[in-house]
Amino acid sequence: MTAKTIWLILRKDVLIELRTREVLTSMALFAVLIVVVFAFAFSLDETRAKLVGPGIIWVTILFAGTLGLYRLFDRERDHAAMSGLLLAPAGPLAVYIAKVLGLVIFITVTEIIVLPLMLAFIGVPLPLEGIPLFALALLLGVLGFSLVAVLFGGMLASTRLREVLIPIVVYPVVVPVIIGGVKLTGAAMGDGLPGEADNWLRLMAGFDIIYLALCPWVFTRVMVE
Amino acid sequence: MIEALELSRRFGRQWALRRFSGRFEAGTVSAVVGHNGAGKSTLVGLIAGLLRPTEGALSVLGHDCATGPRPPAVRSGLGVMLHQPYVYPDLSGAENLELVSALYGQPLTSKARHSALHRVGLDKAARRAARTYSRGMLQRLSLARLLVQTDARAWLLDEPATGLDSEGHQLVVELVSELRDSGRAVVMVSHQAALVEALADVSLTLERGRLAS
Repeated sequence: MTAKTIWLILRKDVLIELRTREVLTSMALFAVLIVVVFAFAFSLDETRAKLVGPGIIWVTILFAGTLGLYRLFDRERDHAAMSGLLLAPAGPLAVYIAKVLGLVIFITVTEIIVLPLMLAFIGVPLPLEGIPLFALALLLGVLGFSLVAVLFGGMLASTRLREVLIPIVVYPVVVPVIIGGVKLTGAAMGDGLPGEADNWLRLMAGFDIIYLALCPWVFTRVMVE
Repeated sequence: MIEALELSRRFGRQWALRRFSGRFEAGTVSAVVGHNGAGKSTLVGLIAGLLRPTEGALSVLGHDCATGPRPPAVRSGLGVMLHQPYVYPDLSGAENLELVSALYGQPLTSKARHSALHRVGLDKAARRAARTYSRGMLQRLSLARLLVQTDARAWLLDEPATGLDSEGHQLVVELVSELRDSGRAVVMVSHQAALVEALADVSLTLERGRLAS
């Protein structure tokens, strides 16, 4: 029942997105704007681009992901839809997993659209041998962010100051995976010391496991007021 | 089917519901009435499982539901129609009904879907996005759930006739009567005296969070 429910909620979110294109359009536009602003603000040459490029990429993912999170939960707030989902037989766990998968999908699609533009604007060459490490960093980073963001997004979805509160609460918690992502992205671009990447990979994977163990458990308990 | 004993809920320092005790039996329509802020929606939220009681005991369909997570048997056996219609505006009426039905493990055949939407008067608007529905049409779509969630042994209805015309009122009377006749327990919150008079076997009045004597 849980797997079926996860699929139903995920399919519903994707179907609505295919019709409205609200989440992906706003995320992608916002991401492009951030990159353009950073690219002009720093007047990047190749050396500086290597230094600040990974940071720009991850700040963009973080901000665009937060925007996607708002939209994902706004749909559930209208007409008490979230209450309806939480009352279904599969319960809050299925809602949590479906929302995490939804956010991971939306951020990944945004990255696929925006990353080539980002790399071109920032002017950082990504060597072919660096792509697997970069992809792994993105996977672990986006998963970690989504696990935490959906927990607090669900908890704070009905509060008046959610747009302010969600980043204040989520960003400090996901800082370890974001720093890991920045360092791994740098390593993928040929920056950093040899062997350093393994440590950052372990750190990111470790935090993802902690989030995976704690966030669903907390979500199922706090969604009943 | 549903039994509350000294059930209480506090928000901050304010008691929204205080020491409510009552039984809601199978084959009975129990109306919960009272002024705004009397605690009716809090009672619905507690029985539905959206709120956790501060004190007291609650049994739903034979399971203790005052503490801890609810078993799936209670979740699928308890139908809840909240004051706001549980609808996604970007899905059509038919898609909304299919989604709710599938979430409750009861996939709809196209015949059953058509029949339910026809019964609530939405068959011609079934393919339109729910965004284009009026308030009354959204309420009718919610009412269609009463026809498709057949596993529900008890129903909580919070203002089921909101936004409906006189024909819609009659539809609510018919649907709720059918639930009662098929042995379901129905707990109905309503401000509409005519609806309560037409349907209620038992009437409970709440005043400032307490059951009036």
